[in-house]
Amino acid sequence: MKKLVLVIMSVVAAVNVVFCIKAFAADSDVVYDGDANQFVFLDDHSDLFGNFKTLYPGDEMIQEIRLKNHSEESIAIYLRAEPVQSRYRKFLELMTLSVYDSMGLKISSSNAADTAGLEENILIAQLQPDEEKTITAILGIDEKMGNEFQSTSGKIKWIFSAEQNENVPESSDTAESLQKSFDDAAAAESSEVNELPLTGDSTGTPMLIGSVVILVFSLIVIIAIQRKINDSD
Amino acid sequence: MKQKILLGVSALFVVGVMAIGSTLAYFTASDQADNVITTGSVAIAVKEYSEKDGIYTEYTDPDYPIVPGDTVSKIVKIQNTGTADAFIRAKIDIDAVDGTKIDRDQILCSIGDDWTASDDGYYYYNKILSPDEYSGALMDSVSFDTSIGNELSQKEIHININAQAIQSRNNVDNPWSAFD
Repeated sequence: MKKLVLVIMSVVAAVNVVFCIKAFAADSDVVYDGDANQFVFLDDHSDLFGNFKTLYPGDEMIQEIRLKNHSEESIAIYLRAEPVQSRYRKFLELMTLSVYDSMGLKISSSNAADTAGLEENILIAQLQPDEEKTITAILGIDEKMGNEFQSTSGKIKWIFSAEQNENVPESSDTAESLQKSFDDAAAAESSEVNELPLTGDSTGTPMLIGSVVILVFSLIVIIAIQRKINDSD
Repeated sequence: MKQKILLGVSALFVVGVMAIGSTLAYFTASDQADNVITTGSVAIAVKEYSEKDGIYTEYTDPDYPIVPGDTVSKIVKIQNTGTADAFIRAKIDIDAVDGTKIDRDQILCSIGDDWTASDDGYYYYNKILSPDEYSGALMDSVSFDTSIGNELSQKEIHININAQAIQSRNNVDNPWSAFD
């Protein structure tokens, strides 16, 4: 019985270390897949501007983008825009692009060649497990755009980031409390919102070392107990 | 007793490791979306046909000399080859190669019912033309009046079609102002 208990404890300790490592080691749709810890674009379409095609001077188009949390954790999703490549600038400068977060708040509005408001990661949605919310992009084409831009294309790169966030409010909250929660979360993260969220686990190494040390110590204690038991036998 | 104490302590260590592990569990992810914006195009093509005995062929200039009183089959249509619905207008210019003045009352083009003549010399198509669509015939024949005299004898006459198109979308109030 004593040997069985010791074996179980050793297995539990070993599994715990493995578990920790694994934990280290989520209209258009952007899905956070918790199992794979990565984003998935529906039908492999990483181009979210399905409604911004074959446009003409004077057009104003709306693109809704659904954000989905397919994980068991509450998450916060951030958005950042990469600087536009120079070859697209003249074309994109003739458009205005406005982006609204999941609360309907405007987070960016400028000509599409600039990234005003999106130069750094900005919080766009907080999702409970299996929750989805929608952000909106509105694109306007200058009616003075000339013939030289017919059959032309331009690319805007967006970077989505997700991090675990225990402060995500319940969806059943009133709009006022939701806004308050959003404000509180934003204030709490105000010193971090302009910093890149961790895209890798920076706590991994210290925690791993700590867990290994504790495990080794546990094994030493277990071995000592075993010897004591053997000596007593 | 010591064994039990040691056993309990080791169990606490294991539990502690698990607790720390779950407390510090933290994940992030990041991915890139390449969002593309494209524009369409406005483009047209002039298509010309001849008709004889009910058979339509691609237009070619008559291989026989034209005399006063002749009528030549020349069917002109405009095709929308772009990606946008468009307004269409066209002008018919008739010139003698050597610059001899042409009396437009002597060389008549039979204008189709879907076109309206304007004082600016253009014929305006009465409908919006969709992509890949053909307009109604701008003209279907050219007639050389019997009053034509020797001033046009042995002359080479050119009938040129100049067509223009502009997007109909977002362009209702004064669609042709872009050409001013």
